[in-house]
Amino acid sequence: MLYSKLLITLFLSVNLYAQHLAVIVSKNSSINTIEKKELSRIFLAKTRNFSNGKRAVAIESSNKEYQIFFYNRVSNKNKKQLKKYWAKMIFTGRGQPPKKFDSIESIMDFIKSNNNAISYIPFEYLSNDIKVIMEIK
Amino acid sequence: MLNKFFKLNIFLLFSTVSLYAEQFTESFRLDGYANVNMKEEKQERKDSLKVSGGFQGRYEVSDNMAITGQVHFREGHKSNGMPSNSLEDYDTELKWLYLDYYFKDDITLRLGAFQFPIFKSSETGDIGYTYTWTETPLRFYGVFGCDDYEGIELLKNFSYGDYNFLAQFSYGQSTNELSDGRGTSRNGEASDLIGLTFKTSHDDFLLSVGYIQAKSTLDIPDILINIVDDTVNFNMMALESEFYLGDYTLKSGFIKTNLDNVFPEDIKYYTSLEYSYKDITPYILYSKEILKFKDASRFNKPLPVKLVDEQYSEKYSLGVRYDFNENMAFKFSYTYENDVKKYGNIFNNSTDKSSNLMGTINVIF
Repeated sequence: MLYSKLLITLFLSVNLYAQHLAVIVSKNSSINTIEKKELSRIFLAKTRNFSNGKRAVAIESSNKEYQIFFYNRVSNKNKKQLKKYWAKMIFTGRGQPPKKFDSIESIMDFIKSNNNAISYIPFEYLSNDIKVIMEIK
Repeated sequence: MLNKFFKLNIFLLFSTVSLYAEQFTESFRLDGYANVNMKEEKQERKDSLKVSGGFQGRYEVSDNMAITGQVHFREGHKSNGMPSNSLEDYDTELKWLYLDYYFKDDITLRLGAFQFPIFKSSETGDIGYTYTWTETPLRFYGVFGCDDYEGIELLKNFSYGDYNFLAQFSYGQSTNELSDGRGTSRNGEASDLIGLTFKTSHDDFLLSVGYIQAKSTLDIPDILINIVDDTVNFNMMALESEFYLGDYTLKSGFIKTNLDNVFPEDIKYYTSLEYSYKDITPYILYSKEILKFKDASRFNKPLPVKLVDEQYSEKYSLGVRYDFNENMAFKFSYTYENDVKKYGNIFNNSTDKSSNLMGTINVIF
């Protein structure tokens, strides 16, 4: 009984994380808002810059749940399509996937210290020293 | 001269990389791939097993500079020229080695050795995981053009509304063996190679067009020296498309290559329909390769008659891809092939029918 409650809680918490992501940049970044298409182009390495010409450095969590949710909503790609996409991009030299970070804390640290960085994290990790430029539900 | 220039650049690049060795692990990325291909030819009762693979390393020298190299391993040949799966006969080939310099506005200058940019299946033909089929229908360029070259590329990425674009200019030379795309290659070189490629993509489609021209110099046997011009212009044009209709993907391609001598003009095209259901992707594929023989009198060469008018090969394939996990795919196909030679009014046409079963395991890591 205890195990099943634990499993349900775990399942719900994973789903809650995955259903609400915030796209974040540094507090000092000149970017205040972003459109989904631009976000997709940056994270799929189709551009190296924000629309205002500033360099964009995309990073992301190595958590697969977040990735699946993000790319499904933003780029309309599932896990399989994404894997094939990156295989082509990498082996033709057209682009590299965003750098992966093991913890949300390390993503936050990178974002705070890099004005060009952009990432996405679950809402519950948000703090006042980073800027949210888009909400993904 | 051009070769020395690139070798010097590559040496300088590696020197730079070693200077930044302490940051190496953070800025270095290594990817790999492997393929196992098993084929059973029905009519000839012949089985074959081929294993190939490779590694690609990329080092980010700085925020706007990166160096990439790809090494490919494949089965080699014994001293008598027969194919050999023995490890000691394996061939190692440096497929890509280049420096990227990123300018503002998504412009990239690339310097080094590359594969041709026109076809996705040409660029990633060695990496089976990247395509659905057991083998690519249009991978090689044919009639002694070159598959790879050393030179420079200028790439520009941009977007307009929901459309993404990539424009690419290429210039260089190839000193590798020149291939006819059908298993025959000759010593030679292609120089003054100029290529233009344009790609556009959208959520629903991808379109790629390209043109390449070069001066091709072939080593011609003495006996043919008065019949075949050995230094001639080579040109190629190509078109490839993909349309995504829900779970269906329709892919098509066309390529035409020609040398301005008596060698036949080479035309290839294919069309394929895939249906994606969870991890399983069944497909049907039709491809055709045509050799159009020329009238030798056009070239003032002493060939009395044109023996063969046209030669073509049609392939019908039915296959399936199964994505076992994120890094591994299994594929299986049945292919029926029809080879036809048309002799004009001299002889009856000859037809050769064959079929094969093929299974592959493709891995990336």
